[in-house]
Amino acid sequence: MEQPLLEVQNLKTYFPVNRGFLHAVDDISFSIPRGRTLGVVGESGCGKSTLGRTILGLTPAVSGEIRLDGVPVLGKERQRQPDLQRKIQMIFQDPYGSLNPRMSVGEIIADPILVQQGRTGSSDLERQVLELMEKVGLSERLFGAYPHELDGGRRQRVGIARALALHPDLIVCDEPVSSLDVSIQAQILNLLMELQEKEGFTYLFITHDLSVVRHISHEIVVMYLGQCVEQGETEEIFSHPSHPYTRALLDAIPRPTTKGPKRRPVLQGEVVSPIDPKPGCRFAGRCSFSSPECEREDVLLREAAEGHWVRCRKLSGENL
Amino acid sequence: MEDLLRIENLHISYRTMEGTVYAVNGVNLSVEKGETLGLVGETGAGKTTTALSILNLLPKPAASVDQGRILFQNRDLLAASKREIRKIRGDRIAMIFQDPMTSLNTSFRIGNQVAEVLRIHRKELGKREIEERTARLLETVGIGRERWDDYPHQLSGGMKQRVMIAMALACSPELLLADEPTTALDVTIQAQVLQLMRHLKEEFGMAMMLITHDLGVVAENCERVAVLYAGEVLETGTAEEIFDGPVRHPYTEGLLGAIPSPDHKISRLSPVAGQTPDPSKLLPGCVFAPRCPHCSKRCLEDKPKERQRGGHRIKCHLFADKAEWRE
Repeated sequence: MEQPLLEVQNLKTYFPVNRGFLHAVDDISFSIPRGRTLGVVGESGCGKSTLGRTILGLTPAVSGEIRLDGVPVLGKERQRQPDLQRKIQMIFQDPYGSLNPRMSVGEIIADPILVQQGRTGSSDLERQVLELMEKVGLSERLFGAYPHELDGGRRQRVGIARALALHPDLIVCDEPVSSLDVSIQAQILNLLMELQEKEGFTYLFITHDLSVVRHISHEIVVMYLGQCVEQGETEEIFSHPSHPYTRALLDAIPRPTTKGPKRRPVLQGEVVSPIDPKPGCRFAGRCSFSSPECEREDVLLREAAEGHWVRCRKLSGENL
Repeated sequence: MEDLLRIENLHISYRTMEGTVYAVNGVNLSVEKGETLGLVGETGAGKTTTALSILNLLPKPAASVDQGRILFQNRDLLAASKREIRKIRGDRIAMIFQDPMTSLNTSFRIGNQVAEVLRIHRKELGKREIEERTARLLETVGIGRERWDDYPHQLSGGMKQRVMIAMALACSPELLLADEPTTALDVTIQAQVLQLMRHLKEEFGMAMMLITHDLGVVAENCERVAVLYAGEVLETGTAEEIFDGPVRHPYTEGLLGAIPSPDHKISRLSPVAGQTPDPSKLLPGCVFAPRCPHCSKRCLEDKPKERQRGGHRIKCHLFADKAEWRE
């Protein structure tokens, strides 16, 4: 089998807090083949953004391994590879806060090139920037415009062009469309998919929106309180959602039709604290299938079908 | 059935440093007793401006209501004095805001914040009775009375929104304006809050104006829907007509085509092309024409009149020649 572009193994990122450790990412493993998209989905506080930041090297991990193209990139290894910053880029959630208001569009997109390669011929740089702008659908006349002159959708295109500037291998997209209106969101999703088809980019796509994840991802990791509760091929998970949390998430999405079942079961309770979690299934308190056993013992990820992993005790016996 | 609230030909503009911004341009809406009207549209469509104008909460002096009437039980709220509005606000018409994190006062206990509404609008009640009612309200929205003394920072986002709902319901209003009440919440918590609002609506028999950009939330919670774009209502109809009917306004069609579905895979979304128009310029023709796939010369020059079939109203030239669609 071909070597995956990104491999993450038993990754743990904890934050020290007053009362102990906050388990933001707790033993996550996955890999992404080149040119594919892995969607990481979960609600606020499940650790999905921390996972992205750890892979980018913005947050230190406690343990585990991350390999890019087979080369370990975590901790000290990272400093030995100056090229690494080029290989992994990020698209941020907030197109307002993530662009420097004092730099023009052209300067923002040129910045990573200048940082990595020093000053090349300026006409060449300008040509590169204009090419990037065309790629993401920004008109040439916006070259000298400032972020405040652009709407949310155009700003996010600037963010994408900046991420593409260094021809990265992996792009971490952290909720890139959640602050955009639906019609603009669809434009940006289509753009990201077209870029992948044409240029073969690999995405780690972080979102809280299961519909978006189904649309864009080849594989999915569903996270709950730092752990992966279900993982596998997108179509497999959507056709056979197996973890009670995944099912509850799917049920909770309101559908734009009056013909669906109107009164679906609603998941009760709220997410418990991720600080020094107790043993046992972390979802047990909200799960309608939970038994006393679930709250006592940790549950491991098990393979429910080929390549489809689920962290639920009930699966070992009979199917739900 | 009698309209509880009727908005007629409402025009609102904001004066800014860059010039006048036309936020609401001739909006007509009505909410019947006990019904839920969904107000959908994208950023800048004028949804929130419309809602704020009902309770005289528009930022002054930047905003001005240039034309129109807002009739609440046949009484024009725009003509009412500040004092009269203050009596209605929080009592007969209540509002829930989008951001539960900043809508509560951080330095007061949540029980006191709910009780304040009663102290202001139900002066005849004694201290004991106000406390008892507040405790019951907190329980109604699923927060135990033992949390009375909590401060907002001790609550999660979903619970804060429940406190906001308790405050809004304190005086059993006839009309609730809910401006993106679940947008800041996670889906599973959103489902809880929406379920609660549906129960309470049935129990108290109040009418609701649910403002949101989420078409799914509208389809599952509203009887009637108004689609707002660039300050104009382009379409109104029942939820069935808007979401599952045979004909729609091209803009509504575009909105629906832009949402990815969790139930099946589509290879590409078909969003509305382009961006919303500059609100500082009023277009002579249809406001949606520059982005519309069916745009013709006439659309750019003439403003389409609203046409209706039954209760379904559409503002689009495509329906001009159809006999069953009357002016």
